[in-house]
Formats: sequence, C-alpha cells, structure tokens
Amino acid sequence: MKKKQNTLMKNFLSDIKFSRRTFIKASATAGAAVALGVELKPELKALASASGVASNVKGEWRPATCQGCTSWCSKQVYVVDGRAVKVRGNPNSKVNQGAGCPRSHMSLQQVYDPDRIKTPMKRTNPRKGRQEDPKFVPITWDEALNTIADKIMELRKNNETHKYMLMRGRYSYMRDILYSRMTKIIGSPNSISHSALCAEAEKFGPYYTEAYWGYRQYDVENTRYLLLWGADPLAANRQVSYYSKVWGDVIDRATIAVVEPRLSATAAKADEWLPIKPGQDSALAVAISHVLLATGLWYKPFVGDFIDGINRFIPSQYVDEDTFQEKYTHGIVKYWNLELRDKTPEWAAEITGLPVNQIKRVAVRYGKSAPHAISWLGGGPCMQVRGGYTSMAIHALNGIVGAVDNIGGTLKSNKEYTVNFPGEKPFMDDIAKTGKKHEKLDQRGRLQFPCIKKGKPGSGVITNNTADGIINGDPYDIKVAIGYMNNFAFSAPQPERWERALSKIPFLVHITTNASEFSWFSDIVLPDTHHMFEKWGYVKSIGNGYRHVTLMQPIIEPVWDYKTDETEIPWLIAEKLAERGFDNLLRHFKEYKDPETGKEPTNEKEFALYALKYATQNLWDPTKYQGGDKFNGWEDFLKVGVWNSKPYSYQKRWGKMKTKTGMFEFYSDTLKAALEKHAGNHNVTVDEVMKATNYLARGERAFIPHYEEPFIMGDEKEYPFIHVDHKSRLNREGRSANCSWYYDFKDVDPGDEVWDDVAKINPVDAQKLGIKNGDRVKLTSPTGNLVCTAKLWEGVRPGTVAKCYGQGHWAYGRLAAKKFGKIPRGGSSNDIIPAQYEALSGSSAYYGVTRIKVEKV
Amino acid sequence: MKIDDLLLRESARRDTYKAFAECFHMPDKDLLIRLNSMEKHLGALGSEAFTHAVLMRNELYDLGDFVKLQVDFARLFVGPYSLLAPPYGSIYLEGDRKIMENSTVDVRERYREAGLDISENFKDAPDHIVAELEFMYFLIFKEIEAIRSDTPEAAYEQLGRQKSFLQNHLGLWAAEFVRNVKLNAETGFYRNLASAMRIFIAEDLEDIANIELPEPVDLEY
Repeated sequence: MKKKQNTLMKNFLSDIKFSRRTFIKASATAGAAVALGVELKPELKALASASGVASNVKGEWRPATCQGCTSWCSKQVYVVDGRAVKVRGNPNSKVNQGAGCPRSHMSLQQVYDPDRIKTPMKRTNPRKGRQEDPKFVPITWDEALNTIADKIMELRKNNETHKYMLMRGRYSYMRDILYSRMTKIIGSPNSISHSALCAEAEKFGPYYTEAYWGYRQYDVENTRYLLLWGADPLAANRQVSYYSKVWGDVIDRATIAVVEPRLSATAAKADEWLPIKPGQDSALAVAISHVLLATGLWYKPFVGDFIDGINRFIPSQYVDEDTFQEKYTHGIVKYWNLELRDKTPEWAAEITGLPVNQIKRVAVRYGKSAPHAISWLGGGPCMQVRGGYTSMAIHALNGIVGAVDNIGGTLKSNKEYTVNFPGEKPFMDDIAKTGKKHEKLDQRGRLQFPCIKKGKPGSGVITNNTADGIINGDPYDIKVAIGYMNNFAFSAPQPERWERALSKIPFLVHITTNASEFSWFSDIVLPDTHHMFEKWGYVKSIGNGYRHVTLMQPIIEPVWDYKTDETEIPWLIAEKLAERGFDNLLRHFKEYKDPETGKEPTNEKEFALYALKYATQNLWDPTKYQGGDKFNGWEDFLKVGVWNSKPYSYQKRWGKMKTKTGMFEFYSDTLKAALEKHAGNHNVTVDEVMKATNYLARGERAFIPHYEEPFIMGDEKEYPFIHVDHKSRLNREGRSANCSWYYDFKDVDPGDEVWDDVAKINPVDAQKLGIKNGDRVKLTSPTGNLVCTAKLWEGVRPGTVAKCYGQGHWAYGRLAAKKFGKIPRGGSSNDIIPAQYEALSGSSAYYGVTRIKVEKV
Repeated sequence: MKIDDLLLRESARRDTYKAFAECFHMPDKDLLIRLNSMEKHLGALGSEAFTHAVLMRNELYDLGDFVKLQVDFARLFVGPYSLLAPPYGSIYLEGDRKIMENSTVDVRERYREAGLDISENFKDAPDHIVAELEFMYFLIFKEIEAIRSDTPEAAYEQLGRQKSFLQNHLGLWAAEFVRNVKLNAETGFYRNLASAMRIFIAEDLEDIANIELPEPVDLEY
C-alpha cells in the first residue's frame, strides 16, 4: 500500500513539473513558513464551508404576483434550488385563471439583470445635473441608514419636517407604511404618489356619473358590443392576461369597435376601427349619445322613458323635463337639452374626421346591443387637457344603454376584506402635527388645480406639478426626499423640469431595483427587492366578475443585498431614528403584531411579514372569515397565493349609487357640488374655475358630459402633425428597457420593429416629406425633441405620428442607453410631451396634447 | 521537483489566486498589503504578470486617496448603472446577459462538491469573479494539504477539480472579462490588474492543461 502511495506521489511530482517558467524559490521563501508550517484553515470571504449536499434539482411552482402592468395578475414561478426559472399564470386566481401575457416572462430578465442595484451606494460628486456623473460608490446599509436618519433628525430639530417628501411610484398595498404613516409621523404633508401620471382622469368620468373612483372591469364574456376608446386590453392595462385568454370567444359573440388614431393590437382584431382625430373623442361620444336618444335606443329599464312613450328627442329640439320619467338615472333630458340635441353624426363627422355612416352604424349597433353593450374608457381620450368631460361622455354611454353594473356591461370592484394598518395619530407629536398642516408641494387645491378626487377639492395628487413646486420653492423648499420605484425624470412629461427639480433637493434618496434617470440626481441609492420574487406584499385586482387579493412572497434566494421598500427600509430607518431619541415611528411599527402569536416585530424581516399577515388576516384566518375563498390559516393562504371574492352581483347598485342623487348622473349633482365647493374655497364662480382650468364650458354645461375643443399645443403651420403616444404590450411599466427580450420581440406591437424605436408615419404624409422607411427622423414639439427611426405605416391616421413609450433612457442600464449617460437608445415620448394637465383630476396630459414636426436628420 | 519546492510553488499559486480575489473587493487601505503579496508570488512563479503587479502598486501610490479607485471599482463591477465589466461568468458563457444561468448552477454544484457554498455574507452570485478566484485558492489549499499529508490521490483530485474548473469556467471567461476591465477602466490600477490577471490565468491554464491526470475528469456541465 505504502509503495503504491510512493509511486503515486512520484508520479504526481513528475506530472506537476509542468511550468515552462522558472520557479524562483528564493522569492517564495518568505511564504515558506506558511507553506510548510502548521496547518491553517483556508481564509474564505465569498465562500464558506457547507454540508456539501448537492442541490435538489427538482423544482416547484411557487405563488407570486406580477406587477409588470397594473393588471396585477397572480402568477406561479418555477423555482429550482432557490433560482427562478420560468413563470406561468396562477390557476387559483378567478381573475386571470392561469392566463399570462408576454411581459410576465420578462421579469426573469429583470430579477437577474446584472445592472441591478446590488448594495447601497452614495454619491461622491457633490454637483448635480445631467452632465454630472454622480460617481456612486458602495456603502454599507448602516452608513446609508445613519445618513438618512441624521438628515431627518435635522429637519425635526429645526421644526421644518414639512420639508421632507416621499415620492411613490409602483407600489403594493404595503405602501401606507412608507408613503403615509412614516411621512406623517415624521411630520410632513408631502406624500406624493405617481397616480396622476397614471390615470386619474380615467376615474373622473365614472366617479362623476356613478360615484366610482376606480378602474372598471368589463363583463366581456356576456357582452354583445364592445366600443373601446383608446383602450388596448390585448396589449396594455388592464387584465391583459384574462382578456387575451377569452378574446377569441369575445370576438365570436360580440361586435368590437375601437376608437383610436392608431391601429392598436386590439384594433387589429376588431370589426370596426375608428381612426379618430386626436382629442376629438368627446365629439364622437356625444354624437353616439345623440343617435341613441334620437332613435329611441336608450335602455328603458335603466334610464326610464317618456311618460306617454313618445320619443321627443328630436334633433335640435328642446325637451320638457316633466315629460320624461327617469328610473335609475338623473338628468337625461338636461343632458339632451344642454348638449346632445344638436350633436348630430354629421356635426361629429366633420370634427372627428370619421365617415358619418360609420358613426351612425356604430351608434345604432351599439344601441341595439343594449344593455350588453360596453363603452370601454381607456386613458387615451381623457388623459388630455380637456379630457375630464370626455371621460364623463364616454362613460355616460354605459348609462344610456343600461350597461352600468349590468350583465355584459361595466362593473366596479367586488368587496374584499383586507384592513388598514394601525393609525398614526397617537404617534404624531406636536412637531409632526404642525409640519403636516403645511400646503403640499404639488399645489393641489389651488384655483387652477382643483384635483377633485372623489368629490373633494384638493384631495387628488398632481404629480408632475411637484417638479415646478420644487424648482420655484413654492410653497417652500424641499430639503430631504425619498423616492421609491419611481422615475419621474423619465416617466413624467417634460422631464427636464424634474432634472432641475431633483438637482435642487439637497438630500435625495432613491429606493429602486435599477438605477434610473431619477437616481442620477440622488445622494444615496438603495437596492430594492423585486416585487415578483423577493418581497412580502399584496395587491388587489378585478376582472372576470371577481376580485382577487394576490400575495407577493420572497420565493427565491436573493442574490444581492437588497431590502424591501415599503416595509423593511422604513423599519430600519425607524430603528435609527429611535437611536437618535425619536422613537415614535418604531413604537408605531411595533403595533403591527403577528396575528397568530400576538408577538411584536423585533426586526425588519418580522415587521414585513407581520404587517402582511395583519392586513390580510380576514382572508386567511378562518375565525375572521367574511366571504370569498376560505383558508385553513396563514400557511394555507401562502401556498395558494391568492384569495378570490364572491362573484359579482349585477344591478345591486341601481338606484343606490353614492352620487348626490343615488342615481347614475348625466347631470352630475356630484360634480356640481364639488366644483361649487372648490369655487367657494377661492371665492370665485364655477365659471371662473372653468376658465382657470382651461375648460371652455360655462354655466350648467360644467356639470354635464360635453364636447370640448381639444387644447393642443403648437401652431399647426410650424408643427403640422399631432403626436400620438401609446404603450407597448412588452412595457413592464417603464422598466423593460434593459431587457433584451423587449427588443427581440418589439414587433409584437403593431407597426413596431425589433431592436428599433420607430415613429409611425402614414405613407401619404411621409411621401410629402420625402421620408423613407428607416430614415432617422427628429420629432420636435414646442417643448422638446427626440430622434428615432421613421416607419411608414398605414395603421396611423394621416396628420398624426404615433410613437410608443418606453425607450429613450439615457441612464438606466447597459441595454437601455445606447451610450450610457450620453446617448439614449431610441427616443422618449415624454421629451416631446409638454407638462400640461387635466386639472379637475390633476392628471398629466399625455394624449392629444401637442403638435410636432418631423424632420430627416 | 522536490516536494518542498512543489509546496512552495503551489502555495505561491494559491496565494496569487487569493490576492487576485482580494483585488476585486471594494478598494481600501489594505489593498497595498494584498498587492505586496501578489507581487512577491507572481515574481516567484516567474510570471509575466509580475510587471503589472508592480505597476499596480505604483498607481496606488500615485492616487493618494481611494475615492477615485472606488468610483472606478463601482463603475466596472458594481454599477449602479451600466455595469462596464460584469464580474459574472454567466454573462460571458451564456447569451442572455443574465446572472444565475445554468453555468452558475454548475459553479455552485462544484462548490458544493468541494464542501463549500456561497457565504451568507457575500451577497453576490456564485460565479462572481471573487468567488471563482477564491475557489481556485481553496482547491490549491486542499491540494497542498493532500501533498503534505502524503495522500496523492487527494492531491490528484484537487488538481483535477482545478483543471476542470479553469477549463470550464474561470479560464473560459476571464479573458473577455478582463478585456472589458481594460477597455473601460479609468484608472491605471484596474487596467494593470486586468493585464496581470489575463496573463496569470493564461499561464496557469496552460500549465494545468499539460498535466495528465490519472483518471479522466468530468469536464461537462
């Protein structure tokens, strides 16, 4: 045995005599003591001793939630040895029923993106600006948190806590911890959400007709006519997965008409495409309403009828209100008299650029399908300067045909039973109470910004105006700000304003997964968990007549050193504040006890978990059961990953809506009260409010849906085209730009090209300009420009140029920017969209808001 | 070769890998100590990389403080924006510019077979350059242990692991990685680190390729 061993060693020595280089023993002798001395343990930092058990290669499907768009689908992720491998729809959800859409798969490229923020980092270049590289360097969590706590304590010491601001982007329903509770307990009114960049004007119409401030679900499987307005449910928001799954059947059963200047993914599969002139949607909506009334196609079991059954809605004639007996609506005759009576299809044809026959055909077929006839309100027609009344006019169609709250119609959300987190009031000291009383930085509630969310003036956010508030120090300067999962320096129109605003904030923190344009101006960036794989949380969503509450769970092994935005990070900040003598926030957080054990959290991880269990207890605790799916306990809920409500109860709200009259309001007493309240706050008339908010309506027309001539910036001679912005079916909000699959498959958006960013120009227009396919073109508006590639395409209305949102990042990641920090890949639509508002809701205007010119470069 | 010479030589290899691994951590005042070690061992090994190690030290003296180096370190290996020299094997071995790919799984399997795993404190991917360099250090450490304890089978086993790991992982992607470092570094320190590592790994790869192992080593993943 020993002999064999010796031979082997001899062989080994001879085998290893391999180097062609000379080994210089003398140089190594200093290391000899180590080499020949006593046995030492290997010094390891990245690696550590382990049991040596090989991984279990068999994976399992674990429940998750996708926030690639606001469909918020319940998903399942196949996890092998702690690693996410693939994604599918969660079959346990009654909303998306196992269905998925392309964007959910891209989450895999996001979570394992090498450009993610991996560790807290701090800026070493004190100067801020687009041309100033922040020169970030890694720091520890401890250093980052200490710095943040010091800055907050300085505000508290100086009684200027109102100069703290929290900006929120994509959130889960754990949001109130960081967004609301922490901001208030520190003592600031400035929790600024992104919502007005998202869709508030879209909620405006449904609220001021049926008192529902939220996204609707559409009962597509039972409908006979779908009239979509700037909505593209097969591609973008909302319930893309569910609608994609059932659309084949919907096409079989219903007629589909799409109103949009661009041939969208949904329009490509529709029966009718109405390529309307941008901004003129309200003309079409009131003209269709006119036809419905004039031809007697309103749904009488909902709206009611003339007492004697004779239709007096004769074009151009006034109707005596006393001759009509309404049932579940309010003001149909006023609507006719004040607006509809002369809004004929012929009148609309001229304004909208649509054939009069098409308008009539769509109106009549839509009416004949009543009440199973949906008027589907998308963001396009109402996220416009004068879009508030368009939002009402389009949604009012549902009232006329009785589709509201009805089979095959438009539905609100089902009831769910999650609860709010513990209240903050007992933890707000005098400094906090005083601080919170200050005016908010976005200037909501001023005469020109009514922002009347849910009937309350000044209660809605006007996100994009915050930049101007900061720049002008009006009402005051912001000194310390935190933003999370937002990128206002890219996602808000005229983002250059945000660059100046953020440069002005002395101490800015950004919590996010990928550093972005917003981070560029930050002092500290903190690495965030990815919603789909790495955080505790939940979101609620509706579709298919159900509501689901779907869980986010940490289901994979995290690779880098991130913490969760809405729970762990505020806890850690609270600990640091407590160390500095201000423990109100930490004491508040300790109230979030584990419902199972009654224990208070002792660290950030327990806090995140207990907070989620606390908020969702009514769903998973059988002793607290209130309805919908029933679970045996927390573990059972975790395993399934989603709770479903009871199915929708149709027609339950007929006559019991939360409007001022309880009815579906064509004449909105609800809006009237809100506008009068706002006018009263400023000692002016409603007409003066209309004027200040750039609306043309005066008198009673302010309270009804009506046509408003669109407000489009730019002189027609200098800027001959109207810009049409749209969203991609691959946009994970604005966060796909660093995923290669986004570019590989970009042609799933009709008219778009792979690995390119194109402006879609009608060939008729292109010929006049001498522009060919593939030419580089510059699009210029009165407020900015972008450069991209020309694509000649018949799917865009002549006189308009369509461009998809999503590309054009100059700072995001290796793929997202062509030359990082300098040359963007493609062009960002927001660079040409002016910062304009639908001021009644506070929404930013994205559509029909600017004219542009197109030049070859 | 005498056994003591072999031990000296292998320990020089071992500590060179260790020194390289240390150079890919966030730079701080201890960096000079690591550089001294690297310089000495590269010299002993007769490596062409020696000159670059000397230049690295010079650069470090010239820099004065570490901020510039830290900024460069972050841009190249951490981010938070476009990572200029992603220090992950999967980026180079697979096509999707993603971490945690199949090659990463294979790396982790190799760690586990050697009785290791990624440390909880490391908070990075298994195929991070630091982990892979450290793994080579560990395997050579074990080889030396085996030689010392007169167990050539074990020494062969560790050598086999080194060969396979270099040929299937580190040695396959290091060249492209250091090319990125060299192209994008703003400090001479990292440019020289890139050159030193390219040379050292190429030399080690060549040496190890010449060793005939008694049993075929599974080179697949």
